[in-house]
Amino acid sequence: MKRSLANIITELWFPLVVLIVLWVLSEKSTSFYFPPLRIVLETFRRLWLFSQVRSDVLPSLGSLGLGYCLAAGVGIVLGIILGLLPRVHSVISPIMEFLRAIPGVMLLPLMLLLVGISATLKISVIAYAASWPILLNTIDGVRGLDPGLLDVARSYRLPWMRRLIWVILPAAAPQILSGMRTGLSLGVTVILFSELVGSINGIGRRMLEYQRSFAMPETWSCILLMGILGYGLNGGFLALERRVLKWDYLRRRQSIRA
Amino acid sequence: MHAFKDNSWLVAMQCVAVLALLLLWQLASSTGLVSEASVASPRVVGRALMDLGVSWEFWNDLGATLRTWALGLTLSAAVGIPLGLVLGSSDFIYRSLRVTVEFIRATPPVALIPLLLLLYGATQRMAVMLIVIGSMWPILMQTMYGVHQVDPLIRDVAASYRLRRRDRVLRVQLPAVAPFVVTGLRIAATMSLLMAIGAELIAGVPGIGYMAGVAQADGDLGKVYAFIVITAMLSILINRGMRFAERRLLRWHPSHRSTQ
Amino acid sequence: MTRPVLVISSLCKSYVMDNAEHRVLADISLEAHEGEFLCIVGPSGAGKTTLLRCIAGLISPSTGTVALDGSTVTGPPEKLGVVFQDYSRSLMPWLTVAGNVMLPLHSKPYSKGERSARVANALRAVGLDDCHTKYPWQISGGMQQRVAIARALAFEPKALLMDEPFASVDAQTRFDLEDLILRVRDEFGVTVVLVTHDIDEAVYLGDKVIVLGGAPTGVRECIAVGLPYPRDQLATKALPTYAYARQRVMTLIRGGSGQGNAEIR
Repeated sequence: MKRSLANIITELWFPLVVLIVLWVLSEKSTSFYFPPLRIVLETFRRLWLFSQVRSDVLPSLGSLGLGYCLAAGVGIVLGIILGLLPRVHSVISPIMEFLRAIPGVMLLPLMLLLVGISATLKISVIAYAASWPILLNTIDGVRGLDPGLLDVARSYRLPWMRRLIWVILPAAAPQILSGMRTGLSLGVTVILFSELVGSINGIGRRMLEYQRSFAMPETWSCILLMGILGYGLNGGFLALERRVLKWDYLRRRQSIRA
Repeated sequence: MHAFKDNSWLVAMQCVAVLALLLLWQLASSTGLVSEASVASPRVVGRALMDLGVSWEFWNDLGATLRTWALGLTLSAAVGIPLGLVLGSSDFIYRSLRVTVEFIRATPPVALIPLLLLLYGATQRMAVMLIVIGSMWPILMQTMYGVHQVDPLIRDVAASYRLRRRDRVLRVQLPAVAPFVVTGLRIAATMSLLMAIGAELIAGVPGIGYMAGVAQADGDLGKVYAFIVITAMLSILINRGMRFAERRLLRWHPSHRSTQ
Repeated sequence: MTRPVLVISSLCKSYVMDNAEHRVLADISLEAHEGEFLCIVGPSGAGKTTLLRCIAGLISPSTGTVALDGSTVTGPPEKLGVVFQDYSRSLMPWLTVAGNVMLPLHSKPYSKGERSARVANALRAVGLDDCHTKYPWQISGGMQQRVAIARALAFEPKALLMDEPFASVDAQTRFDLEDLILRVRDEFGVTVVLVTHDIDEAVYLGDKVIVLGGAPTGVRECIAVGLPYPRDQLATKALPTYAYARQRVMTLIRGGSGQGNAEIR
């Protein structure tokens, strides 16, 4: 899917112009809270490329990764089970609705009391929050399965494992992956506020320190870093999604044409 | 996939499930299966809820949170909707802005809390700023998307009947965009609540989030659980309320019509 | 006298809906012998799909039995290949043509080489030699249905069950597919049970035509078509025997208890 040069320019001219304008306008800035863009970028380069990556970014990403994998594992497995057992799902859906409505932030005071400031706190809150979009999307994906495909699986007597891996999962994959993407960006938010409240390391913690010492360019650089991380992770996941679901994407494009 | 034969049967089963869960929970903590230090029994949580219910302070704080939420949401809509209408109307603008908006949207609003704390201190204003900066985007994007999606045929019809600009906007474009706008508002409503509570808990802005933090500092496990229950119920209420309003307002829209 | 491969005895099927019992199929008995081509025809809504699903083991009859190659059918039977009507929804879009045909073979005790050989053979038999690596949405509807047929043939079943397989393709493709299925029956020696609403198709393809009808649906009559093989779209349809058999079937479908909504081409 090669994009023409014109397309690329259309999509990129505005961000570039914004950056230039911001640079120029902020250069003269004497405001304490809004330092010149140049200084923010310099600080960014100084801190995050790459000296503090090991001490701050890696712990955050590590906790995020662990919590997310837990969320995905539980979410997908439970989602498949509940998707295949619609009655059970109906009965426990009020309970699920309640549990799902618990804001991730509100788990922080609880986990602080239970496990104190530690990596476990971060991982568990991420795992909880991120599992919901994954779980719900998996349930939807499995329930929305074309009955024609299940008929085929049954009449050809496909054994359970094979039915799961070759029929149910691929058919539900678009929904599942969409939920996983939502879960990932949710995880990015959760890791940040977990670290703002209860962590000894990580980007959030570092940000707190900068804020307390009124280090403005450093604070801004952290915001920029979070933006890049969020955008990068989301974009990376989208690329992964497109690769894995190439068959779905091509098929839909075909039917739009036809 | 058959649903239950009877709706009342389903509701009964759901109640049974909830009661069974509460019973299990109560048993687990009173028999010491799970330590009291980690899981407060339903009784303890219930008592904490009642204590809060009669506390004037609690209702004051709840009111503060709700006011922050409402103000933030309204401002987000006031900024997001008109901006979305304008920016979505041109395909060129839509495509130019896409990358920028996506980048901003991918940045967790939480990242701004330290900055806003420095700028405004732990005040309601800080929380409202956070909400606006965070919730504006879903509203903006949904509105833009809605304008983008409007059937060109409808635009042509409006043009061919030579409707005045004002009529065209009010009677044709606005209703066509309405469902998207409402979806954006619904998403933003939940986000705004979460950010209000987040600002209160993390930055110390007055409200129930702050109270929950205090309860944690006091080591009051029952109260912490109680606040979890309260915020969950609040979130459900707002979500259901918005869906209800959505259904009433958009009764005419095909997606809301009952199945054929 | 060849032995019966498929035996249906006194099959009845009712559904309970809104506290009332609806009888769909009543006392259906029929037999298909080895190598026979049996067509089941009836008006739309008569319960043909229900009957087919009972044979395929996807639902259980209320009373009566279905027996395939001597054993009673309690779930999807091993030696039956099923071709569904909606081919676009029965092929897995994430598998290639070859992958789709191979799908049922994984649960059988064939070696890898044997599996590939069977897939290649089945695809050759349906005329799709050069489509192995294509995806279902890259080929036409008629070709997709051929893939579904190849999939049913790959493990060399005793019987082939087809649910209005050519209803969703255009007339020209339909003729090609009808001839294809006749060739396939000759090559693989399978017994074919084909359910259709198309009278011309039923008479053209079948050794016997079973006419369903009545309310609840039962077997009106079993007609021996009596046309010679090999059949040809032009020559066979010009024979007087063809017209006569067609007439018989149509009369049975339209006559009886006033249910005159048979499809006429």
